[in-house]
Amino acid sequence: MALFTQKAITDTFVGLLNEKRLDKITVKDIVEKCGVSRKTFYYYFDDIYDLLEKSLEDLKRESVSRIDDIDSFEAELLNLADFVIKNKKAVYHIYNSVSREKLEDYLYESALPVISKTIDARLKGTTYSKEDADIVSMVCTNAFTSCALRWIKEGMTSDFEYILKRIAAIFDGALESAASKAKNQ
Amino acid sequence: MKLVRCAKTGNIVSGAAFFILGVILVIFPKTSLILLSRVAGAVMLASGIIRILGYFSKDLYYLAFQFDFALGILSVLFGAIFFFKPTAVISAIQVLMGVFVLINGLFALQTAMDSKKFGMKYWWILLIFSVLSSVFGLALIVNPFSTASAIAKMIGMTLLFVGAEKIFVSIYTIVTKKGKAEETYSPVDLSDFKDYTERTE
Repeated sequence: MALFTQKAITDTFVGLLNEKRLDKITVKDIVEKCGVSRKTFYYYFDDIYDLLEKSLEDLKRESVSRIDDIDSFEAELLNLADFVIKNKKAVYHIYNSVSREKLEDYLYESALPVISKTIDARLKGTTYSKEDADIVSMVCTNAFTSCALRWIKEGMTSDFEYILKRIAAIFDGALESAASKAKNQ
Repeated sequence: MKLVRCAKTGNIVSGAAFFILGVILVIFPKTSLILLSRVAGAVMLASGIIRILGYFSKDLYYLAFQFDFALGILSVLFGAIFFFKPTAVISAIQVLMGVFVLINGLFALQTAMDSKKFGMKYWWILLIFSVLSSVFGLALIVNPFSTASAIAKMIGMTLLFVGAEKIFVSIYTIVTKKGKAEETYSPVDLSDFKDYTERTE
């Protein structure tokens, strides 16, 4: 029940973020739309910014929990960008608020475990050391995060899903090829 | 009738009773203090019971009743003393009334601040009410009035003001209609979200 209530509040919050700016959303709006009392809201969250932080934490956990069900590089990238693509307006509102850093952290921290796991799996049996694999993971995560943030900054007018599919097509297999080059150095 | 609706109505009625009592005292300051004590005591008793009920109701905003378990008990105690022992309180009626109004005013001050944090548009009206209420209470305790008639008028004005505050707080902050989401809640469906093609205003 507690989880249901928390989920109801965070879902309502995301719904409201798709309608108006973060600084325009009040606890009153959430309470009225969600139907939980003010007391219940403050039992789970300190304020709107705490709610944002915990909502992003939940999304991160959801994204990471889907790793095992995903079997292609393209699907992994789309899984990472799932929330951003489906909630463009909400993401844009977070990006243009004082909580932009939370969004950046969310993107990086949800991408890193997914990308690390993929890279570790792909480089298994190659000459890559664990240290090299970690460096590659960091570079790829930063590339993904930067692409996403740039796309958000530019107003999300281009088709991000298509861009991710192209990235997957272009870079799929590139790691193995880079590994064989690294072997000779 | 749902408990919250019952508490809201009761709160408005008790506010109106305080208001009318205040008006009567201002117009007829020579009203018997024993009668005043009994009537004010009865209203405080009823108001205290309503406040305790309000505390246990499922008020969505939880602003008007948030301290009302303690304040309700206090109101019942003060009401019982005023009603059953009017001769004992008559000499210090303005001080006791002042303490009661001041305590309520200070808690109302916190409610006003909580209302601001919560996102209530007219939280500042609550703030003005609470500050003035505290000032009225303090004025009764300090007692700068020399005649019984002046004291009665001051008590009357205080009750009139407390009644108006109670009515405003009840109407503005107690929601009797529950949000639809709790009964018909389903996760927010974002599948129909249109492509974002223009920047938000």
